Amino acid sequence: MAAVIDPVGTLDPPPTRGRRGVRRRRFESTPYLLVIPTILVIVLTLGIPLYKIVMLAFQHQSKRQLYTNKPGDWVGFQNFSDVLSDKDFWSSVERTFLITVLLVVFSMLLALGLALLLNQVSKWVRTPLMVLLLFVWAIPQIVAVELFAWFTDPSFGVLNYVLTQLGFDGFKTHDWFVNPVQGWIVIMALVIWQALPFLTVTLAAGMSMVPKELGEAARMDGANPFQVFRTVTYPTIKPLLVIATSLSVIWDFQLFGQAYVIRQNKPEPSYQVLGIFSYTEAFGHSDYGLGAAISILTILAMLGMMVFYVRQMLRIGDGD
Amino acid sequence: MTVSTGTGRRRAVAPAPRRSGAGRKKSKKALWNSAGILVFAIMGFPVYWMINTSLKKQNEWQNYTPHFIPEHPTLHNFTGAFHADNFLISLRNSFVITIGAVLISLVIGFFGALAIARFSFAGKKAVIFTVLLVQMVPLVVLVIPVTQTMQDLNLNDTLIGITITYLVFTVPYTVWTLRGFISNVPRELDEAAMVDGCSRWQTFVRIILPLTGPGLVATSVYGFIQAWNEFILITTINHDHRKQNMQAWLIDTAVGSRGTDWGVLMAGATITSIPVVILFLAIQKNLATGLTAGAVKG
Repeated sequence: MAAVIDPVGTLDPPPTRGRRGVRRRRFESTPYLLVIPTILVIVLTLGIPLYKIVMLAFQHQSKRQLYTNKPGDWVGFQNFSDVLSDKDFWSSVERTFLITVLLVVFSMLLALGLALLLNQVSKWVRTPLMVLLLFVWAIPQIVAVELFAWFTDPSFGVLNYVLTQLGFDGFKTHDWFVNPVQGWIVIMALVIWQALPFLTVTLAAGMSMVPKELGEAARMDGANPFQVFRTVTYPTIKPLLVIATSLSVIWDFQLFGQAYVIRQNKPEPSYQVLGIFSYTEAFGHSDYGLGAAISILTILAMLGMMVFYVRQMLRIGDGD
Repeated sequence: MTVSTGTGRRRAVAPAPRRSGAGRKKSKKALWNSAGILVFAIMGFPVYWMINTSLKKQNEWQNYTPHFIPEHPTLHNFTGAFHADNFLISLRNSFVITIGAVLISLVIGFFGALAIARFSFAGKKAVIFTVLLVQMVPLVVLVIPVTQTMQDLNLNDTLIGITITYLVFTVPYTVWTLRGFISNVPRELDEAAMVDGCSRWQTFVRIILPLTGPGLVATSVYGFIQAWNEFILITTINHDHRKQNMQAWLIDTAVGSRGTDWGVLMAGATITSIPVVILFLAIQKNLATGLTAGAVKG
């Protein structure tokens, strides 16, 4: 279990100056030899594409120019100013932030509750629950999307049937995606359903490391369950909470596949989040320069939000 | 199980409480358990419904009153999926691409992780930053330029091209996760091995490699899942229907021109999930460790 917290950095002893000093004394080729293949792969699969996308963002490129690999016309910051003055762009930015916040808050709260639950139930309940979580975790995103689409099918979907049976009117052939609020509820349920296993297993692993005696002692002293959580459980799982939340933000901000596929590859305007917006601008409207500009803005926004996370990870990695 | 709460131990240690206290504790437990069962039912329902639908013939799933238990369970849809266009070839492609990407990343990633975990060198921070940057870059962003690069290299519509493309997320992830595992191997072991006459490379292979075994397993399973589940890059880069993977096949089947055959689709979905479920159940012990150590996409 120690390994779980270790990478977070809580158990790592601070690197001693002396050891590093010794290592620095003469030039070593070994680390470079070791790291060269990694660098080559990253340059080929990420470096070149990122370079291209930056270049593309300053060009106007048509479909023909793209596929014949002819350079586009240089337009300077035209794409960026086009994007930044586009109403649809700003509404998808707004939507992206709203959806991200809702998704992160709900999935973290539910995961926390579920992790607490896992630590309270009897073994005969816990084991099947854990197996189910693994099962859900293992289900490919596309499969999950198709599943939820099937669920909410207007004619044969089980959701409408159950709601009708429960006595709700008007659900007989109800299309869940006509009203974007309802559509987003379905999509968010799908995203959260898929995210819960990872979050819950991580947090539950953290909670199982809380010394039982501490909780007992706090209870003896008259602490209520909430106080026990705040003073005993929370400090122990805090590093894991930070990581899980950061990862949730990263994943939810990048939301693409679920909304795109559940709308049958043709999402309506109210389902446009940033990922989908850049994709449809580029491929739907064949304006690759514009798509590239949106992509770059997305990455920058993400880096801006994640600056603390990146810093912490850099410190951990560099500390070895 | 990853999560051990030690309920049994607590019961043994707890002093025998007075009768009313024991009763309250028991009913509290029953409350928690019923909440657990409720969660199980809600979260498990989609999985159940997938399997349930896959066992029904069309005239049964295409019914305004869904049957919660198939009346005439049949494997018809599974044989239907196996005989569907491009199903077998997509399944095979999925395995080839995924296993290829995982093996290549394990080799490259192990060495990269060694460099980061065991040495300090100029540019180390830059390497770590790039590894982290990858998870901030949505795959959608890479679609256009990667398509171009693959065309430049004449690797579009090939499995090798896709395998190389997938290294963009499997390699950085492997490097970062294995770094965590290698850091947990005490440096004293390296030093002892070298005192005993091992060369540096022998130390890597004979000491560190075996000790990161669980890490290698966890890492390859996560890499497997990511590569297995990918669909954005492959559907854009490869247009040949014989060079697609299972995810692409599922999308194709779902947006079929003659209306969706939900029975076959759910059978295909079940088949697609099985390899990953098996892998997951096999390594459940290392599960939490691997992901938090990596802290990269899962």
